[in-house]
Amino acid sequence: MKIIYHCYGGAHSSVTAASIHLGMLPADRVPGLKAFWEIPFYDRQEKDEHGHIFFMGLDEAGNEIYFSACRGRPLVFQNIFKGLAGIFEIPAEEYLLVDVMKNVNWTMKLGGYLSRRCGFIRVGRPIVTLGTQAAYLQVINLVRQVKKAIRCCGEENSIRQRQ
Amino acid sequence: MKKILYVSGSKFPLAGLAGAIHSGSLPAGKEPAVSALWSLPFMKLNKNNEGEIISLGEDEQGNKIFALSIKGDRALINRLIDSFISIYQRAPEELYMVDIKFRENYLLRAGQILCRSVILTPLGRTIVLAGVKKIFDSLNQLVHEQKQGKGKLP
Repeated sequence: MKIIYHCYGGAHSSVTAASIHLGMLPADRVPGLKAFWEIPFYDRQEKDEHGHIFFMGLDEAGNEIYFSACRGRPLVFQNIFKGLAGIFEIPAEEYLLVDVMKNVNWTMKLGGYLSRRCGFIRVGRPIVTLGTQAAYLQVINLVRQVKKAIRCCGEENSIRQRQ
Repeated sequence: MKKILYVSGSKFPLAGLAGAIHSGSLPAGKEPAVSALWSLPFMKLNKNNEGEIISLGEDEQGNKIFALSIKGDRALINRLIDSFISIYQRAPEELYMVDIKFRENYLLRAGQILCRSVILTPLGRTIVLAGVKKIFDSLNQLVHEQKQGKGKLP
């Protein structure tokens, strides 16, 4: 299964969620600033990469974890992805689109704007990271829900296969 | 058989119209009848289904026809489509994209706005029809070129 976390700029919340999912960030406590900065894609994506789906890694169950940026149009992103899946006859159980934007706070927006849009990385990066720390427990919760949903989906599939 | 995706950078479903001409849902070469136009599923202009890819059936050669009309963020959408093809390891030739370069005219824009109101829908539809008639020849020409294999790849 392919799991795609998406947010506005694909640089902070979606990367954080994907990292928690993959165990690159802890799922039981809020990490320090440096832990975020050591993640390969954190606060990195540029405007001209928005829409591209980046591969982040494989989780313990072999699911492929991706992240992407959809700017302010998550519904459009999801509609197009689902439409393409329809064109290529890919069943809906083979992918999961997760909108992480709901967990983004104003501190993240301000820091992200300064760092990514204005290029003031020295100022913006610490601010956006503080915001990410503030939203971290919510992101953990989202990732837990995603993992639970995948487990349920996997169990349903295995039951169907046994039947 | 190919999968052909008409893409327009407009709120009005121009790509849907082109796809309908291609698949034969709308007659090529002559202006559409009012009933034929409004019976097309994507012509429910008061619904917000931005980004939805519409399936329009097959053409006479068995190619599957799809349409996507979306305003703005074109580069992002192209990257999303390219990425999708890449992560699912599909050959890029499987999906043939036809870019509708021209924009919706002022009649289509005005008609679409009026169609959002229940009371003004009849007037809106009349204006949309006038707009469609104005653009129909260009759409026809584009579809004809695609069918003849003269269309440019994006």
